[in-house]
Amino acid sequence: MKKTISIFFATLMLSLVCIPVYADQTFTTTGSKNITLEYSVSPSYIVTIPSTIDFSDGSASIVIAVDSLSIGEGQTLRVSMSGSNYSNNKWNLQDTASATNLLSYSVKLSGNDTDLTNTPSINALSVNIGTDPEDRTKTFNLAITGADPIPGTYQDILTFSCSITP
Amino acid sequence: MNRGMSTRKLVVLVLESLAVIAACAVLVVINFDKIASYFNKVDSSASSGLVLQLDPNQTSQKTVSIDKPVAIPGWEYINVSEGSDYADVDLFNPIKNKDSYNMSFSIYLISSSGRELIYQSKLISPGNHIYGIRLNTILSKGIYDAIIHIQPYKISDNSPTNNSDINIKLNVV
Repeated sequence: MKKTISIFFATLMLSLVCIPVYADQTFTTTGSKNITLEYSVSPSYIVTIPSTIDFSDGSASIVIAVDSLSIGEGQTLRVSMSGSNYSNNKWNLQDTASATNLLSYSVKLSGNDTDLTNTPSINALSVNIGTDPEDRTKTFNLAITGADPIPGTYQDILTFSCSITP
Repeated sequence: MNRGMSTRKLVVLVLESLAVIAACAVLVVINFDKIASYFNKVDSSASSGLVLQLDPNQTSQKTVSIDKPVAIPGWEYINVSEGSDYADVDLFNPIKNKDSYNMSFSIYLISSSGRELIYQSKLISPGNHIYGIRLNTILSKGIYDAIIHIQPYKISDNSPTNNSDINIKLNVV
């Protein structure tokens, strides 16, 4: 009797064991299957700006360029530049020893004789995805215009503002 | 007797002097071309060391070492979930700045009252990214004007360079 009961329970336990069954990893299907590939690209860009500007010869050249650009059709990347010591409609270098000593300088687009420093911010560059590579770079010439400066070390820090419009 | 001796010595001395002068004259005549070319090269102030030749070291412009330009990344917007201070971003320092510039990122909310700092990074080295940030504030749903101020620093001496303001939209969705 005991033997019969033990065989019964052993058979019952074996029947309750779960055995996973895996499907074959290769599918065979009739018709077609679509697989969606997704890669998101957010609007972005890289602009190169001058690190520092050396006026040791009384003048300097700076280059602003758009290195890479990923924006939508119809959008424009605008880059403007502004100095830190704008006053009296002039861009100025400031004496590091005395904030009241200013030395003005001009900013002109290369190949153009118009001084652009009568506004605090200069539109430096506007590009869109159709802009030719050579038009993604602009050179500006800077020159000291202040006369008879007080001896000292003069500095200015430029800020380049970038925005995508519209 | 003594007077005769003196006269003879004087004559000999005069003759010797004349012989020396004659020898010098012969040498000058023989080397006339060399002497003339020497005086053509050197002016009357030769004794001061001034040579009338153009100095090969002269230049019309001072040669200055120009720092490598800084590569600045830019974006159009940052998305933030409503009720959260966490934002998925990709703030990065381009690899092009390798060995030259670290940079920090500051995010300002722009309002009629001015700028409010809502995020400040530490220095990011070239080639590295920050993919997630926590803002100092939780914003309600809407679109906000913001600026990412990027300040590069020279790796050589940590001095700041020119900088950049990236105008963006902060979308709270």
